[in-house]
Amino acid sequence: MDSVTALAVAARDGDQKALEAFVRATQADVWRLCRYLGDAWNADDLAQETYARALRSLHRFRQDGSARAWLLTIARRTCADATRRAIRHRRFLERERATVSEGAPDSHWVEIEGVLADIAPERREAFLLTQLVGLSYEEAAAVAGCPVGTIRSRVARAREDLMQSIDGDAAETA
Amino acid sequence: MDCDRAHELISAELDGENSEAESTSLAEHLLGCADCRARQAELEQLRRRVMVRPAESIPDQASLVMRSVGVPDLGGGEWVRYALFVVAATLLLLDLPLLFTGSDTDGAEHLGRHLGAFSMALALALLYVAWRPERAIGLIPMAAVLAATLVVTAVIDIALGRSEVITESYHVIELAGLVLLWVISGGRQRLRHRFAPIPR
Ligand SMILES: [Zn+2]
Repeated sequence: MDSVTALAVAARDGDQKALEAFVRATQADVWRLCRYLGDAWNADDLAQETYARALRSLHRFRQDGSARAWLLTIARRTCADATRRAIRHRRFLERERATVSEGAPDSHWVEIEGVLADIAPERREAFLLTQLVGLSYEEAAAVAGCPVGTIRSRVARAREDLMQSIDGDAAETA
Repeated sequence: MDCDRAHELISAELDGENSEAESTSLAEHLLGCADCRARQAELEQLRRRVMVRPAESIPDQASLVMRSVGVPDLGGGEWVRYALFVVAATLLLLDLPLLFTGSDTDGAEHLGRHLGAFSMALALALLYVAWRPERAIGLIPMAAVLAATLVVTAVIDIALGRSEVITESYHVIELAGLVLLWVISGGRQRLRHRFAPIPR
């Protein structure tokens, strides 16, 4: 059993120190996923909502799976629900994106971040899970609820899309 | 192998997700295809840029989560526990005789025992909280009802001349116990959270 899963099991059995450690060990990944999957919604709020949902179903957590994957599945569902609600909030979305690219120091990353928001959601998700969260294809497939081969082709397509957008942007500004 | 297939293998190769056979056939394709070699270099650079991206400032969720599960933010500091201990011990000393003799007033022996039992319960409960402060919040309803009832009946009895202020004044101890319970349970923080703006 990996250390994060061990913490989740201890937290499930009532150890509050373990619960706190579990949150600390996973919050960066949860926040990152929420940041890029959650569209118009505030990543902090989505991360909070993810943990609230996770705590409600923690008593059903079984130690045979990875707790990180279990939690990220919940984060993914939380973001999907929020995005469905967010369709009416398009204007807010524009504003959020505008503030994101201001003041960030690394121009390459700002560029990638900008085009990442525009590629197809399922490709973006596969890219996030494998490249930003650092899951293996198998773990990412478990989180996204699809076959490993699908993750494989989505990651490849996401890369193609990103390269194309970045080249396109470069051509425009040139 | 066509170049589309090769692109997928290049992507998987970067993530270390290819089988040995896939790696070999990709290597063969790359030997004979300059376009795919160029693409591989680009994707490698993209991957590196994602890896070395600047660190985000990720807000700490843990304290918010812990608050939401109701882990009490204990209030008041250590002195409250000692104060609770003193209050509980005083109650015990004052009321233990009542429990055994059953009476300090005229005749109502059985009633006196019951009163003694109530005081004893409160005193032991306060002692328990001095030992395990995180349990304080659960005791507040019981202690509040007991203290309120004592105060109301004491005031009525004094007003009707059935009792002296001086004999009823020791109920201040039960009131003090209640206040200490409230402080140690983090009740003040709880109120402040309720009325504070939600942090963004
Ligand atoms: Zn080729």
